Amino acid sequence: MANVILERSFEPPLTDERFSEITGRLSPCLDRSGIQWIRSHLSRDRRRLICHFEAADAGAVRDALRQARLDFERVWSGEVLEP
Amino acid sequence: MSPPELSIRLLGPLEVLEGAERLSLPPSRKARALLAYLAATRRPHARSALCDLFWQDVNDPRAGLRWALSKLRGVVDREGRTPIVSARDRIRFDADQAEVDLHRVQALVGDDPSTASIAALETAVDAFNGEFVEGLDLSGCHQYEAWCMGTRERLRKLHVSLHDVLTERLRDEPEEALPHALARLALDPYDEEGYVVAMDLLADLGRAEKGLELYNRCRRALSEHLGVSPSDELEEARRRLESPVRPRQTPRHSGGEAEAGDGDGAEDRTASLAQALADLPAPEHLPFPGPADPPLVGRGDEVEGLARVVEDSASRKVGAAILVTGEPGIGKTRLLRELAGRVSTGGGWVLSGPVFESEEVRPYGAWADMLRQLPEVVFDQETTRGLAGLLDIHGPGPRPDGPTERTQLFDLAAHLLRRLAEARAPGLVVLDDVQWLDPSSTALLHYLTRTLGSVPVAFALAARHGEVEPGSAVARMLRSLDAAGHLHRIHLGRLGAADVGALVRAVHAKVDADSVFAASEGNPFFALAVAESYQEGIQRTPASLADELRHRLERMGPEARRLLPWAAALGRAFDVPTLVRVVERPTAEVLETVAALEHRGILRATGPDRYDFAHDLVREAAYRRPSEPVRRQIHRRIAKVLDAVDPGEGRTPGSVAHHAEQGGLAGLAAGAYAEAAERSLWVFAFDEASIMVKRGLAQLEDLPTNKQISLELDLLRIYSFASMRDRRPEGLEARVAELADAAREQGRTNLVAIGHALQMELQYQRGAFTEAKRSSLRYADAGRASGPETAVRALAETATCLLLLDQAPRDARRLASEASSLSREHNLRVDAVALAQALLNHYDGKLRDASRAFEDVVQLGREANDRWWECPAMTRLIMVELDRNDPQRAVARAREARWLAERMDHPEEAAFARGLGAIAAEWVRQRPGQGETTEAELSGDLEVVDEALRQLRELDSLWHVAQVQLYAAEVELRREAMGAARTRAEEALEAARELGRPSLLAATQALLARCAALEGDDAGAAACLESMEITRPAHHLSHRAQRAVARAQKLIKTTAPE
Repeated sequence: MANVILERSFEPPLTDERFSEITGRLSPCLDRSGIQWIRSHLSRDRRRLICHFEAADAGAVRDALRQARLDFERVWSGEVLEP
Repeated sequence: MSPPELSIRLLGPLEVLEGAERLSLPPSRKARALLAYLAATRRPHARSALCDLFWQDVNDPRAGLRWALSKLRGVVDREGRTPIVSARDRIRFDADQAEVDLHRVQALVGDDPSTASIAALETAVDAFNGEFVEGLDLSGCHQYEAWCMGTRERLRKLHVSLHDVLTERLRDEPEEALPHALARLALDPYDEEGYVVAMDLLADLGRAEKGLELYNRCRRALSEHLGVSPSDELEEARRRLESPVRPRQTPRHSGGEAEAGDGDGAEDRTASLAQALADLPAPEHLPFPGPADPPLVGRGDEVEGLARVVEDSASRKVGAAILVTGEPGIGKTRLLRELAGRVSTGGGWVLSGPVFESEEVRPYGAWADMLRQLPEVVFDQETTRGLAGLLDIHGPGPRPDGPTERTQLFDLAAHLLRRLAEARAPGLVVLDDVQWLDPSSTALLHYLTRTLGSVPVAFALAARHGEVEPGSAVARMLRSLDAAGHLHRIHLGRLGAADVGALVRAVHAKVDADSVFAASEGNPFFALAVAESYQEGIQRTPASLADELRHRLERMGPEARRLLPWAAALGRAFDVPTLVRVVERPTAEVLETVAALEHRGILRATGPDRYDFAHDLVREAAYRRPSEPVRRQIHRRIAKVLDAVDPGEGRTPGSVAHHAEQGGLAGLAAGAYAEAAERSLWVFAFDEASIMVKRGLAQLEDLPTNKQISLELDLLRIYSFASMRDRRPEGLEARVAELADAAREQGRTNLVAIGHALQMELQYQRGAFTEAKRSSLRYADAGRASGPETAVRALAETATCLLLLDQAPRDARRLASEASSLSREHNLRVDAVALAQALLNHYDGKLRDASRAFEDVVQLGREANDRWWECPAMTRLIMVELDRNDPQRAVARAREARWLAERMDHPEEAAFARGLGAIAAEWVRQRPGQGETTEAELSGDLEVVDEALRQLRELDSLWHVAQVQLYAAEVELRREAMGAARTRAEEALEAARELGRPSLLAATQALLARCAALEGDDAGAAACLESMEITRPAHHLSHRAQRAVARAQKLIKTTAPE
């Protein structure tokens, strides 16, 4: 499985309601595609979001986002480096 | 003297007649199809083209063609008549030397039947005797199949229009017009307009009741099959029938019962049916008594009683059911054989199918075997199509079209028996050992005994005394027949000393009959076994029949003793090729042993290469001889051998499951049970499906978790079919959810997707349609509850997801089709539905439809300003054009897709379009007539491909990488750069493995096989073709993958040394 990162910005800043809407739309698509959502990091100003997934490849995450009709700036896969 | 006129009938089953005499055709289907093709087309064909059409799959196609031509010439050539003409390298059929019905019809009515005379139209319509070359299908010859299907459809339309024109022309003579209107309905049973015309004619004739019957039939057909209500026109026609209008014209003939199919044609058909029934041989497993059989003693009254029941049924034209009971070996089968022989000698017909233990693994097995004994002539178009599912239940491939509910299937079986009984009476259907009859076969039997009350068909059944399980389907049926007073019961008791004496003396005159009687206690089969031993000089008193049989088997030679347990484990009936594969001994050796066993009366030949144990008790004794662990090993080996049988050659998952279970191969058993359960659903054998799922689930306990999850999901998905609703276990949804979670924990992406699709299906069904019976209604209700578009989207998106992941295509197909019907019903235009359909069409190789549907996706997205799928749809269109071998169009598509993807900032799709476009451009250049490709041009294009690949790798899109590499490898192969092709294919394989996409994996392995074959590495090529990805794909492969495999196989055949 690949570690896949999603990057996205929000303007206006991401509200809790909007976040749960995104989660609601994305989760079934991720489930159906067998993608695991590991964690997300939201900046203090709620304008930048980074999500970490485990998936077969980055293409699978892009397909799932497309199915959920969710935009993204970048989706890329990489290694996890622990300190 | 000129030879009698030769005529060829193509409009129905293929027939060749010389004057009035029907000539026998070669048994080879290909040879017959060749004759039909030559006669139908009339034009000259190059030998190479005919080889491509019929003998693509053999090593020496020209030899195949030569052989078929020589066989055909043997049939049609006479002195002064040689209709098959060879001129240089071309073959044609000289239509002047024979009359071909198809051409006669064309000459009579031309292209436009509406301009032909009534006489010409009537002659033309009479020429149709079924569908074009009915039954002459060649599943492996795709070009021929395509031609045949196209011709069939064209002629079906012509046939319909002939009836249409005649109905219209004869409108003022309703009695004359009615048969044509009804015949037209038989050809096109969903055409409302046809019903309106027929109902009006019936109204004119004053036959309102029949008209209303038609109305009801139409309404039912529309509702059940199309989910729509009758049109206003149909309702008006009904009102006209109900209003007290005088008939427009009094029928001219006193009979006045003109119906579809009446007339000379129907009489001819009935006569040929009667002849076919008269020629029907004895059922293989129930031969009529012959001189080699011991006499039937002590059963005179019983035989007379049974014969009277059958005769009564014929003379009073009523149905009858007989049940013969008694202990094993008491002579039930012998009595049934006697009765069958009498019925046949008296001019009636007999049908029978064997019933085996564990019948639930082959629902309708006995009926299917019975129907297969019938010659083709007894099946009309309707029964052939309708019963195909039942007949093919053990066969391969996707579900055949056919009835949509069980009663339709049963009606067809009843219709068939009724037709047989009308052609010839009495009819006798024999089912022995009904204590083992599966629930579906029992339901059909029960249905037939109830509905054929006024048809002279008798059902003779036999059951072991006390072995019909109380509460079973068989017990319920017998109780119901008893209660209705329809069942004649005969119990066979033991024979007296005098009868045993007569029996023994007739077989072994010198044996002491009294001792035999004392030992056998009047059981005739036991008596014969003991007499046999005495005759051999073995004077021991056996403790029981089983003991006697055991000793008898012990006395066999070592080869026979070794072979018998294997044959017995295969079942009561077995075929030699399977036995040879199972025991891994040379055929000659096995045949010799089988012949010895036949000589000793242990086995009985029932057909070419087929044998049956003389009695089930003998089989049981042979089976029980080895110890349990040895038996388990035997079953294990049989399961593996049967599992290796190709689906195209009659793989029977039910048998695989049974033997794997007995052999302790839990994983194989569970998978085969899932496969067999799904096959059972095709023929509405829901009880059996349920039993199989339960048995499959029982196998899972000791399997490793990852295997368990996959098999359990496979088994539980059987419950997701709407018809299994009542059989669903409690907590099913929760269990599916648990399995999906477990799959996620294991990182099994594909299984998670399957689990979720299954869960969604179940949730939908639970939500709003507990009372709804049909899926269309079900989803319509769901739609109303949550907004139809939501339901359509959810269904279509789940289907899309499965198709994108190349998982569970059958489920995807089902979901897409339900989304599509619901969107039609609510008049919705949803891009998700078009996308699912487009992906499905591409998967199935319906490339033109796929192209249209992907264009719809683009269009719908633009209309709704919802352009999520626009770019992927555009890039898929490039693939579709490449798959259609149209690189020119692919170049244009790629240009468009790339421009759009760059504008919409989709780097992945832009790179994909760039790569595919460069591949297509290179392919255009490689085509003949495009001039020599310069090295610069070539490297230019491939550099673009490699640059696109570099970007796709960077974006980590394995699927895109794999696709580009697959198409690029084809280009490399075409320019004979084997090494480069291999490198590309290897990367595609690696990506496909990472993604776990079965069709991609198979296509890649096939490509690697071609690379190896072209490099002269035959072993490597064979290894690729024998890889699990090709021989054991996770599911039915996409059309593209299948084509890739077929291409590789063909290449390997042609490059392999003789």
